[in-house]
Amino acid sequence: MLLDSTTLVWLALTFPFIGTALVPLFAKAGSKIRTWFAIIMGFLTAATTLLLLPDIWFGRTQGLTAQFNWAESIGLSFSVYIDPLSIMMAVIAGGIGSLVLLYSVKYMQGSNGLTRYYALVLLFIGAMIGLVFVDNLLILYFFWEAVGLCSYALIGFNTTDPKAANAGIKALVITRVGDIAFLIGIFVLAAGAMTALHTGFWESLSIQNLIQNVSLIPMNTLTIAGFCFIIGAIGKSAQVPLHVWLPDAMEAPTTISALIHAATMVNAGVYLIARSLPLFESVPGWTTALLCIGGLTALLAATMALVEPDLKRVLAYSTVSQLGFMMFALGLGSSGFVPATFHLMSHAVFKALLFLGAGAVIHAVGTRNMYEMGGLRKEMKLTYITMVCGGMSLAGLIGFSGFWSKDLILAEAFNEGNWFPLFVIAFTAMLTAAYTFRMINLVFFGENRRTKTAHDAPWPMTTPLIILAVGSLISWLSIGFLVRAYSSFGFQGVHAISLSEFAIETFSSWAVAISIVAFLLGIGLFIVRKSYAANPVGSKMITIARSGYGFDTAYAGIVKGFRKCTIWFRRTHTGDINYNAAGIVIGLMIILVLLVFFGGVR
Amino acid sequence: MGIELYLVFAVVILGLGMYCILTKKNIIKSLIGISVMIKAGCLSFLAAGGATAQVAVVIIIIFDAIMAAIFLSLAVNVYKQTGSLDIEALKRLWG
Repeated sequence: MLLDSTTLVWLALTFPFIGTALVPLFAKAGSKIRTWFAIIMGFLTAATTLLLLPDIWFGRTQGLTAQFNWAESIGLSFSVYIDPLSIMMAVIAGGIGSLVLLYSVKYMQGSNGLTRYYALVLLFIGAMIGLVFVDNLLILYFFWEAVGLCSYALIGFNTTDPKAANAGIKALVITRVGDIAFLIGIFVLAAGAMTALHTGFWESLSIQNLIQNVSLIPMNTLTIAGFCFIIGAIGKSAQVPLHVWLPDAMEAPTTISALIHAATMVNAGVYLIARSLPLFESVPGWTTALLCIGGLTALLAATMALVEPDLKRVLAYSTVSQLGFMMFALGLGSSGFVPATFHLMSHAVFKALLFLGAGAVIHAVGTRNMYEMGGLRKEMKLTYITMVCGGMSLAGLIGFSGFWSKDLILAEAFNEGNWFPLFVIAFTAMLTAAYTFRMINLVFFGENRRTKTAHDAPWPMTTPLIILAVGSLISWLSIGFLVRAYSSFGFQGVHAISLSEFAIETFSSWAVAISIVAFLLGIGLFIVRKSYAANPVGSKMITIARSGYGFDTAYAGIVKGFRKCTIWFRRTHTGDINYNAAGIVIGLMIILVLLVFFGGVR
Repeated sequence: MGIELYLVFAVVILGLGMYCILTKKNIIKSLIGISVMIKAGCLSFLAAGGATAQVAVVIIIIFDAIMAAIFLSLAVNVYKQTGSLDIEALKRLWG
């Protein structure tokens, strides 16, 4: 066959990068040709990932591997390992990426630097697919940084706006904290594996190799590496205390928020943890740390989403909160693997939908402040219907994909039998319903508080909305295939069940009562919302939550203190070339001495 | 009489080069200081003996030549920019 799966893997990996390289070339031929070329490349990528899906999800029992030998003599190779989890992430990246590209035709019309925009979006899609396909931790780290770079460049896309530029720098610097920890974790793990497994450097970075031989790796290596990986995931997936970059990243164009900051890149941290779950699960305290971070993040972010006046920032806090749900689920151990990845899938679809809908609203109204909207239900009928689909999925109304995945998380927490985490996560589910209703009410209901009349968006913007709305209704139907594929690939703690069994299991557990009660209580909380603002304690709490619990102030303080230290330290930088040259020589000699005495150089 | 004598001599040359770098304010003189230090490195390689060390020394000499070429072209441009070969003239970036 012409398109066997190995060819498809290389096509999926190369299409976006070819697109990135050729977009500036096509821009010479005219802006229309460039735009449609970018969209075609995006859809080709989506098609190749979709064509790979049946091969991985049905029939295969082990991962699809492909290898490109780079420097054979020293064993460097670009190795690909694809299992149901990676192909799911790749389909999300390719599919939502191509829909976002289509949506951008009208949404981004008239902005400056669109060649840069399309090139970067394609680069991002390629890097994201690379991130989930590769087996080698060091190459994974390379793609991890590449998506971070694209995120930075696209947040600051509007170069004339200092607010956007600062938000981009903030995102880059804060995720850097996690990235450095992740890199340290990779090297600690590789060093430990090299001595324990007697393999070369490159083989000891292979995730599958590490997972197969996890029992041989010493526990202290796993402990250090595991917690470093958690810090990396916290930075990328915007968990407390490094979540502050994501709300500020909303200065990006809304398409970018939908693609990078809701559907794909922020899931990279969750993907990393899910991928390395078999490695670190036995480390004492590792899953508990995930449970605490995830629960705390979900709760704090939900309260902040409840009081935020800015439409996009509500969605950003909601993303942080839902990522907290996924981390929480992974904190339940291998039994939380399916709920976390299932919620990742349904969240990617409905959150991209909500962001794109919000983009249509902002495009029509010209403001992001929800208190200046209202009454859009009649004027933007299609946007209203699709956004309600996404909102109900987020809130967890029975039948929508968000209900099934969130209920699965609640059910796993319920089966665990530990009541406190269950209470926290059920309370957060209630807040989720409340802020979703508040958002939809402020945007689409009530009296008209706008200065402009609005109308529905043109077809390139509404088509993705309709596709994603349908997706948010039916994406849960794939759970049977997903779980069966997981179990045939031998994931720990996964039992194959069919769709009907899954539905019966969902409704025969007490957890479903918890999620329905949480949903109804959320509506109740929304109905009595006026009484909080009137209450002095309530209004005080609203003020605190609006200020983001002082995380930003604390970080500003740290930066100020660090700057003081550097001004003092600057005295050692004389600028005198004599001293600098001598310093270089002395430094080299110190490294040499260290290598001779401690580095094992013989 | 053995390897120690060579190494002591290499350390002496290294010290001379270091002294030159630390005290001389002329760019050409610092270049000479760095070259002298590289020669100390070459000498200690030769003291170790063997074919590998000799290969290493040949490679070091190549790098030394490249470095000298770049450094001298820098010196020419510094002279064009500032009108002197004084290293102190390059301190103006230090605010």
